[in-house]
Amino acid sequence: MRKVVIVLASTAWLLATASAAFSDELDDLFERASEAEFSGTTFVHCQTPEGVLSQITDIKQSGGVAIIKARTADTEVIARKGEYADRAGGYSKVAAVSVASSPDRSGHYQVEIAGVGRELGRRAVRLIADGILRVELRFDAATGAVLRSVSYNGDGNAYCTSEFIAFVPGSPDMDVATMENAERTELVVYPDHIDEGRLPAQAGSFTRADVYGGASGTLVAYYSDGVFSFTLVTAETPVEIPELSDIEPATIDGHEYQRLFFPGQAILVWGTAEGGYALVTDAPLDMQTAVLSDLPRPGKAFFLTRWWRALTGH
Amino acid sequence: MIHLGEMLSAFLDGELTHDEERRVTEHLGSCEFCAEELADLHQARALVRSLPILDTPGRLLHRPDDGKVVPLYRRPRAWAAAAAAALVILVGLATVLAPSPAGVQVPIEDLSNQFRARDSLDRTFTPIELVPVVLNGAE
Repeated sequence: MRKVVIVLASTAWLLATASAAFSDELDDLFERASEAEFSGTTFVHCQTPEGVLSQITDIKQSGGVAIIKARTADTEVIARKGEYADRAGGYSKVAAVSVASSPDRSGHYQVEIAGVGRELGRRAVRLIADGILRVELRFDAATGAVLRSVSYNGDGNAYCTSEFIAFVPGSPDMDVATMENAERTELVVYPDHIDEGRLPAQAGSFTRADVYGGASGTLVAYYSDGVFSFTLVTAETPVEIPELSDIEPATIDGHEYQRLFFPGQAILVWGTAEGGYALVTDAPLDMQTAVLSDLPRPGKAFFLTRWWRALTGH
Repeated sequence: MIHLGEMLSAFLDGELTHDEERRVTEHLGSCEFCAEELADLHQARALVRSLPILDTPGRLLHRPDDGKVVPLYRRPRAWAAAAAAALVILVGLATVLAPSPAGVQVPIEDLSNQFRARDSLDRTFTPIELVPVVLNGAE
């Protein structure tokens, strides 16, 4: 009996160690990918309720900075840790975040890493939550770059896929000069008490990590489950995104939302009796629905309240 | 056998002739069904008689002075009906026309870029997360 207990305890310890090691190995892979130097062309396509959305982008990365240009757009974006900028005609606008807390990935996801040689010599990583495959990643053995990534809906169908159709290892020419003198918008951590009714600590499988003060009195909350994430912008008045105003509302769980998909992103906007919300996320479709069910639903304030607000301004 | 039926009621009211009364009495002596029916009828009348007698409300009474009978149901006065209709219309209009408060405009690029800037602090960008938002330009 004693031997059985010792064997079981040892097995449990080994399993726990293996799991932690896998997580560490994944972090190492991500770290190496962010330092990889390459240039190439990616093809991104997403299966959305509004049809297939696709985009071809030229990408180059060096020194922890990536410059990306969509084939259909004049603008470039520049990305590095904590910064994401649009650049067009020598003008650049930077969104920046300097302070953040780290969400825990190991709590939700089981990480499977296939050995080198089993996937054409490339590291293949699968992230599984509650028995459902959510992400597959393929890392280049030589540079460490993420060559292919696929995210999956809960029904097992692929949501978004990104893969290189041309890939050149090595340091490319990088022009990041305009980023340094750009107009900069930095999110600052919101210090006050957070109204849990407006920004719940938990939504779907996501945990609220940080809340920032945004423009025009908005609050911007960042939620993550360690792999997927979303930001939620809320205000005491409706949140308006002009590009979504003419879009036919989407009905989700019997409620109407304005929704727009881009390759790799979904944006949802809705008004409630207390104000308005906008949400942007990279999460698959079923996870979006789960998140919305934990947030205030669309609705309008009582007509007397609306008159009162119109007359008094608050 | 033929039963007495409505004759029982007339019998209790004393409206029968002598001859009819005699025939009813003879029948009751030989018909258990009619005897029970007579007993029930008698009991029902006794119950009705035991109810208290109330005064008739004045508004139900015929008033010979003006020659009018006041109906049980009185129509609402015209002004009250008009006021109620006006109130319903007013509330309806107020609901429909209640102004929506001025909203906060958030540029879609700012929303998307802030999300990606914050997301990049958790882990490295994968190519999907690097795709720029292109309005009306997706292939």
